[in-house]
Amino acid sequence: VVELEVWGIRFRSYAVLIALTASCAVLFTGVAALNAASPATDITEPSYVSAHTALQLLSISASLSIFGVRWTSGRMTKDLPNLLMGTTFMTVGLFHLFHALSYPGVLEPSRFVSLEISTYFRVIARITIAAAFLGVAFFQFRRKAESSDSAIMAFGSGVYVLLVFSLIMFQTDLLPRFTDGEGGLTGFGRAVEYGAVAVFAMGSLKYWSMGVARREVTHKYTSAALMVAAFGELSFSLHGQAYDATHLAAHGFEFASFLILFLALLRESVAMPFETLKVTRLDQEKDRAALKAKTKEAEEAKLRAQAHLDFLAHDVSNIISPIVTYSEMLLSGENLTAEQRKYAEIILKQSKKGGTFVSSLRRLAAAEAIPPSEFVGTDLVSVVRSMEEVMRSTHPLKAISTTQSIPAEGQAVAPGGEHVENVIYEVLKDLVEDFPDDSMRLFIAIQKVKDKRGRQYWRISIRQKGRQFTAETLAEAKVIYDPRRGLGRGTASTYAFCSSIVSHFGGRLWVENVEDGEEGAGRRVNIELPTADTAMAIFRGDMT
Amino acid sequence: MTKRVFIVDDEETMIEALQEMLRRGGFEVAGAAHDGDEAIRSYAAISPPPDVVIMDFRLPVKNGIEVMAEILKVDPRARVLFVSADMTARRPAIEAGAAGFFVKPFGMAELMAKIRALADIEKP
Repeated sequence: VVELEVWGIRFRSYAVLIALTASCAVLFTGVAALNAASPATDITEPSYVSAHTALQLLSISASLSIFGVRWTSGRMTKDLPNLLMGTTFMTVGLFHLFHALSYPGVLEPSRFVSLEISTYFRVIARITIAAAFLGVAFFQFRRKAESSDSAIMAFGSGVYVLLVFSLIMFQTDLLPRFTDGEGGLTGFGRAVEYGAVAVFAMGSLKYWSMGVARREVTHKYTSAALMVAAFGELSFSLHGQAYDATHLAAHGFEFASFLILFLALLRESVAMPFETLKVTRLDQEKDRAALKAKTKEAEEAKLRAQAHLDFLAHDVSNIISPIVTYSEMLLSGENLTAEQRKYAEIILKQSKKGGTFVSSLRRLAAAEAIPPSEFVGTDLVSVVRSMEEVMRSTHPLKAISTTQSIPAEGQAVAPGGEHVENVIYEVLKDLVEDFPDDSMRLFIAIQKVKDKRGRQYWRISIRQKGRQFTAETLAEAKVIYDPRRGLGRGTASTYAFCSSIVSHFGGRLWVENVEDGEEGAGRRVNIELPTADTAMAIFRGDMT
Repeated sequence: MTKRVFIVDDEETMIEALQEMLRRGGFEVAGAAHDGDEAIRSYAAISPPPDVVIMDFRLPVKNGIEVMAEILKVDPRARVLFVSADMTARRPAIEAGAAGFFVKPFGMAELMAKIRALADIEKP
């Protein structure tokens, strides 16, 4: 939270407002007592006019400054109250100018220079300010300002100033008299001033309560400014003659109230955004550091989890491996009953399934731990050839013959590194081990294909002649953890894991049965992986 | 002449299963070791050297590839066949000179056929 602070004072509690009010009251009492004890004859006309004009110029400057800040920020933020206050202070500035110029002793004497005319301008300025502050305080502005609003307000302000100016200058007789001819106020004038005191005091309390309710310090400053302004009106109500100290005190209070408003506004509009920005930047830096720490923590946790999974999978495989071996030894014996054989076969099958599941899970976790920025390119042609050799090496009892069709480029680079190598190994292993005969034939084709968006992929089609996939395998080939599947079904599908690994590298895997064709009926596994360019396009968002 | 096989695995049950499998297949088990150092020491002590070594990858003290490197220093003609649950070791093992790599759980018939093929190859 950035708090508004003017002259080192933060308007937080009523004590500050009360202290300010008390200070104004002391000042006011002093001036009033001085004025009563020492008549205005002690102040010469030139001194008085100079002081009055100087104070007026200061008030005009403050008014126009408030106008500048409020008007500009109101237009930028589309804030109607700001626009209204800006327009008000421009109008008030003009009235103060007229007040200063029409005051006796400033310009050459004429019918337009008189205490009465000058007082009218001052009073109308006070009424305008009071009306604007009360209007903003009590009226609910439910919409944002539109571009036409500022033009309407400027035009309305101009018309208002012109009408008031014309009325005061040319139709003075129509207005009730404020001064008694000797420089003092009439009964009506005093009544108006007391009314103004009441309105400013009420406005001050209203703005203070708004500041408290909205937790907004600017309103509290406005409250203080209005309280000071109330003392200005109180001083003015004591106005007894043309060159009266109370008149000067009134203008002093007036300027002080404008200054408080302006400084608060300046701080709110200019200094606070920078402070907010600074605080926000510091907060962002803290957030970024926290996020970085969290990310690191998460990455470490992920690595730990992966290491645990790795050890777990390794140990489970070590546990399962002797079970498989003993089951196979049991099945290789000749003295088993049909029932014993059946049970041994089930143990063997389920153990193998468990082993496959655990190792697949481990491979998937390892692959998914790699971010796109760390993908490694692999030549699929070399990988397929190498895995073919591995298959022959690890299945010496099978006569595996292959027919290969490789791209004209001679190589096919795709992302995935050893993980894709493992997928191809698993696919070949499944095709080889799930084939009942000792002799089998595989057709392997690698070709470049395009998707609908024109992106290029390498497609590896591995076809086994003679045996088709079961409906169960076809259904489960793409689903690892489908909650709708039956208990124990699909969990060990090698293809589902392989499919997930391929997807991680931006590709896809699907299996199908082939009914006929040149090679005859059989099964086919298709793996599509993005070419290097396509991979860059797919993962660019992650890599930059 | 009966072919002889040396087994290196940290799992006693696995060693027993392999011993049983090899005996049934007509092989003689020349020895077994449970960690890297023991494997290197035992291999050096076996005379004549075994025809085939079945090697696990994850072992206490030294891993299977390190053990193989030591064995190949002593006996460059040694034929080391990896049998491991850790598939990520396949490529480095082959590149370091392994004669083959089987992933646990393995098919008994395939493994026996491979051991037989390796044992029957006349050593250079």
